[in-house]
Amino acid sequence: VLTDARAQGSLRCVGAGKSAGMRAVFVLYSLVIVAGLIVAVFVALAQP
Amino acid sequence: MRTFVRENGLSIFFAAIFAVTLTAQSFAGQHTYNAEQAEHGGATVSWWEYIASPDYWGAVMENWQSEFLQFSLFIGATVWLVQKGSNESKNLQDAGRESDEKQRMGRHASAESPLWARARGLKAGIYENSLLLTMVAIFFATWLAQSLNHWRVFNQDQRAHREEAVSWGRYLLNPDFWEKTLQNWQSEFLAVGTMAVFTIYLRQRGSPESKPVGAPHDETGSSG
Repeated sequence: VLTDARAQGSLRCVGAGKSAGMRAVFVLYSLVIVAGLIVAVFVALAQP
Repeated sequence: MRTFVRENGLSIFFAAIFAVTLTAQSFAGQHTYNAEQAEHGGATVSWWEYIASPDYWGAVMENWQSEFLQFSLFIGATVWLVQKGSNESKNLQDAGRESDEKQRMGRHASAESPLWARARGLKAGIYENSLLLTMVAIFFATWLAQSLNHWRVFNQDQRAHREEAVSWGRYLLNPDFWEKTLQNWQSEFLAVGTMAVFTIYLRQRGSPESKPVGAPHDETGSSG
């Protein structure tokens, strides 16, 4: 059971490593859009 | 690092050219703005002042909203509407939401399927439409941001011409808002329609946006 758990754990690690790049670009694009929106609304509302 | 770049080259490429063109737009926009200010005897602004202005963010949001509208409509319309021979369409008999089995949902999901694809009820309902919901939400948010910034610019012009400022609600009914909006929408709709139609007869070897070079013209929904 221990061996199985270790094997599953290492598989999860490999899986996480494999998807780290995809996750990074997903987060990057999401942040750019959210940041752009926040700045745009803030700029408009900050006008006198 | 090399693996990261190779596996995510498409996203990195577009992120890089996005950053370059957004920056270039800010410099070009500042020059245009200052030229107009000089012409009307107004004060010029620094680059920092310009990128914190509604003039710049109105222009940025104006283009963002139309792009997200374009993709939202394309994602939604291609569920139900088909175009015979187009790479951008699915097969004619597949029009509609398709079966759970084909969508690999619920009991047809595999161990590798996303967790929410294996769920039922509300979770499954949200996840099966998550792409369209997100794109539509970004469209409305960017359209709102465009309207707020262009409203501020409009009122600055009104004051410069000693005319009365208008409320945001009144600005939404103003031709200035709709001209800026519709000029972007029409170009997006033409471009999407063109992609759907041109992929019937034209090819780009190696691109998933095209059918394989040797695919028959009436073959629908195959990627090269």
